[in-house]
Amino acid sequence: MKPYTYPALKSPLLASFLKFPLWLIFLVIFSLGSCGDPSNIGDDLLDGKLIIDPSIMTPENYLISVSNPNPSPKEASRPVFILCHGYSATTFEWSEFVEWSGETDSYYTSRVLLGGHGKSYEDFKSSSWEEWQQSIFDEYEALIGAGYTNIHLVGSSASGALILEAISSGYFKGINPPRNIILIDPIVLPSDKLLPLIGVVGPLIGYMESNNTEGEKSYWYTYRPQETLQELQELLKKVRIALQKGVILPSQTKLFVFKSIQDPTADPASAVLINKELSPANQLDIKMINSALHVFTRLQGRVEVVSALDRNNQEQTFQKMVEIALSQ
Amino acid sequence: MIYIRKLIRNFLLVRYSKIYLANYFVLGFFEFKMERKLKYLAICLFLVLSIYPMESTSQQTHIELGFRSQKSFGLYFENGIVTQFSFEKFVPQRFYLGAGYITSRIGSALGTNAIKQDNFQIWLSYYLMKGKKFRPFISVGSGFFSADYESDVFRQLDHQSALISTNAGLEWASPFQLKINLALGYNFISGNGEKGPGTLYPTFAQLNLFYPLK
Repeated sequence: MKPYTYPALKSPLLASFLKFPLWLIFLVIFSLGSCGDPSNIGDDLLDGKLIIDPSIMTPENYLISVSNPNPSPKEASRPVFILCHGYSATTFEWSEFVEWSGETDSYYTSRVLLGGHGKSYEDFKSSSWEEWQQSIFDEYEALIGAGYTNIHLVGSSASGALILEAISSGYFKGINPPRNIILIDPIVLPSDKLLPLIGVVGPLIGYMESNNTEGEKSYWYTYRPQETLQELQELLKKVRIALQKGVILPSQTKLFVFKSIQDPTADPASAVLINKELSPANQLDIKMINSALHVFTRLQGRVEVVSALDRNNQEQTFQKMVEIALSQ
Repeated sequence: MIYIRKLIRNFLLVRYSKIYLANYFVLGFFEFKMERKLKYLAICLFLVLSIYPMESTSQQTHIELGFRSQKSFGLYFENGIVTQFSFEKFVPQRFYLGAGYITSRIGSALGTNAIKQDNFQIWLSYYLMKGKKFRPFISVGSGFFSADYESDVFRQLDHQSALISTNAGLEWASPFQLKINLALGYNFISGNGEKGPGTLYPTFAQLNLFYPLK
């Protein structure tokens, strides 16, 4: 009996297609071999092992739940701003609001360090968006547990997405909702439209390097691990899809959005999605800010020249935040 | 592989279920509201690309009519109608001139709160391997994009843009005349937070179904 032999490949295209996986495998192996973690993390960077966010060592200077765990009835009814920073940042992002507030006794400020942030590159790399969010929940629940009744959640950039996720997933249904939620440059759509491809590209590149200024290097990660970018993308996708289906605010909560009209990190169209997809409309207030800065309320350490308009935007927004909290 | 699997699952299970297709045609077009200038643009486009070639070349034009589903990586499904022509006198069956209209109104925005956006597309395609069942192709395209942000609060934001794109893919000529092609594409103009519509994404995948009319 004549043994069966496979027919010769007549089509050069088919032949090259069948060979395709081989060179792709070589390419992937080569690429994986050429990427990984950054090899030169200096001690002057937040990514290094020396610098950590000060709220880790002295939480009593940052968290009201730690500094005043047993408030009097008068103190418990005083407004508390829970200030949450963005992806790859630290509590420094809200230090200007705290300094601007001075020694006021009209309200409290409680600065939350997102989970996984403020320590070394390795700690950041291994964190998930749920861990980032958990720090907000921990402080919120600690304040509720301590008896505080006048809480206002403030989120910048990715914290905006974390708070929107909390609303959409029903977190506030089983707990006293905040009086107000204030979002500064929240991100739902990234300005970098290639972020959705991070799941494919990420393993090949390992990390992304950001152009931090000397002033920013101690407070923002210079190297952004692709694992955390994947976490960010997963969070944004979850929030966008939830918004698309429609998200209803807790009945006692108002949501305010302040969004730069030009934002190199969080696309201004993020505000369009929030406006269109969050309800009821009478609990929503969106203000577009004439700024080209991402998180325009933070001016210290900027590489850009800070203009009088930027300072005015910051001042106006801080005043508006306080006005919102004190009006209730 | 997981990503590709998810993409295919979305294509097959969600977007092309019978109920979904019914919704496209019954509900989608009732929602159709467009600025007057966009209507004029669409009419002009179809006059130029549909009527003129048919009249001028008579029986020497091959016309294909079809359906396009486009998914931006990271954002919406946009679906619509497409047509393309091949001329007997100029590289027949290889060189195609096409035009189409796709919109999120009969895609992600159908029955959801997604932003309604319209794409008017024209393109030139070149198909390799004439006469084969599987034919690779490349295209360059242009057109016009418009998103409806629905509120005066966002009047300062870009919501319209020209389109310049390229894509490449593979077409399968099915035994029942229907041509099915899959392509990956790239928009050279897209939003970046500082300019351009924020819902115009650079990378996309396309599924096209073409049926030859003559």
